[in-house]
Amino acid sequence: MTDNIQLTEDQITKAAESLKQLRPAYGAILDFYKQIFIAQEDSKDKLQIDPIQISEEMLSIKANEEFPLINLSEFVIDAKASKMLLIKICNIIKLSSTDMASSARAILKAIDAKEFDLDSLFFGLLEEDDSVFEKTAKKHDIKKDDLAFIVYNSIKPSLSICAQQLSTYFSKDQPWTKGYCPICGSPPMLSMFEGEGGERFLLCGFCWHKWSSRRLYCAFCDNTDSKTLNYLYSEEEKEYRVDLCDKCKKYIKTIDTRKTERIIYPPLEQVATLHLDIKAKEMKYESGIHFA
Amino acid sequence: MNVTRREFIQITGASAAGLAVSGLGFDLSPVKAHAQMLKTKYAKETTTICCYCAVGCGAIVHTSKKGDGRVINIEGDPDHVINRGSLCSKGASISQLTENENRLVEPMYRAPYAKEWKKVSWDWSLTQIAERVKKTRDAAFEYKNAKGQVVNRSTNIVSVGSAAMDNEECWIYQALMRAIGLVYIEHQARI
Repeated sequence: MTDNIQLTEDQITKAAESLKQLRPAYGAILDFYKQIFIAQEDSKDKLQIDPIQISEEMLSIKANEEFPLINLSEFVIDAKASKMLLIKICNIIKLSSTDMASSARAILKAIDAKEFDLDSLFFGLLEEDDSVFEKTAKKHDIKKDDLAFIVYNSIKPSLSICAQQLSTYFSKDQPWTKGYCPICGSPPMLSMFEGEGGERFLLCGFCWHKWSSRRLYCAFCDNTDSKTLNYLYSEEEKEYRVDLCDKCKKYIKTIDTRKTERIIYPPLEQVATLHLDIKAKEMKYESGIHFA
Repeated sequence: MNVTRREFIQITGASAAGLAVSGLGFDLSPVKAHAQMLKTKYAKETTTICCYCAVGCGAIVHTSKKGDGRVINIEGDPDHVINRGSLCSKGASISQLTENENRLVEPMYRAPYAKEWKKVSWDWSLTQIAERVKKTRDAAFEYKNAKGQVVNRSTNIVSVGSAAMDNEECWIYQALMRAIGLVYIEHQARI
């Protein structure tokens, strides 16, 4: 049911380079994100996360009610490794040409001065507590969205490993038929067709858990009426399509891995297909994930 | 920006995934230009059952939404319990049932001892078929068998139904065959 996406530095670099060759327009964006993703994958090996135990009774209730396995606040984070990653990410951003560079510098300065309560930010994000971000951003003169970006990316490896551990609670005999993540309940970010038969998988927009999904339906509104499910595609980029639902007017980008020999690293593909988001938005469809 | 707690968490996820890349200060004009240059098409998917044999594999038919509604691809349906997305080589080429430039769209006739095929009209062809079937059928029609039982059959003609016919077409076809007294009625799917 799950397949954790973990690539080496070399593989991510190759994946980014082949995307850059195909679409030079993404050069600077891919150079930036490649470093972030390599740092994240690198950090996964060092993570120490105690597996979450879920009782048989609770598992049965969750399965019957089609509830996700945990709430976001139940994710286990390796705070020490996340802090190290956060510093690494801030250093990458500091040297980048992004608008976040000044925020990264301010965060590094505050950490040096021991004025930054990272734990409260990590857990504030999981508790969906906006106020802790509001206060910290104001206190250190950082943009709140930058802070959320950096904090989320620092705990992302922990979320991914935690989801991987939890996925062992699922079996193939109990397929998950819902359009939200069976681990944390978040909506999917991407869709993928894999294997010779083109089985569809959805990727969680929060913990990046990948789950097997029905092929012909809208993950956001459960629509199965083929008359109102369409897709957008281009002969020039055969491995992509944008699935559109005319019932809820949402879209999701799909990667058909059968149509390319490239190394596919979904977070990079997500970043390198913003032109498809632009196309879908032009056609008045909205992403299932909210835009900032 | 005032956001609800749930939206807040989604925003962080979206930021991380690059959806908010415009907010990071990158020059997005090359990406926008790429989007403008990209020629896109619009299509839809409909499920069906492969008509070629009795296994009953599920397939997904991709049709163009650009007015003509033509088939652009047919692939195995990964959700179908029989084939889980796989198709045999014949099934994999099923789109050629409708999309095939070599497909004959007019009746062709080769007269006895002739070397060439020639185009003929539908009216002429159907009349010829009807006349010859009737003649062959009548030549060996049995009202009763050797025991004197009523059978109303003709064993001069055998029908092997085409795999390119769907279920409903097959029903009408076999009903016609039975009506004229055929008993040897087969279909590719059973062979």
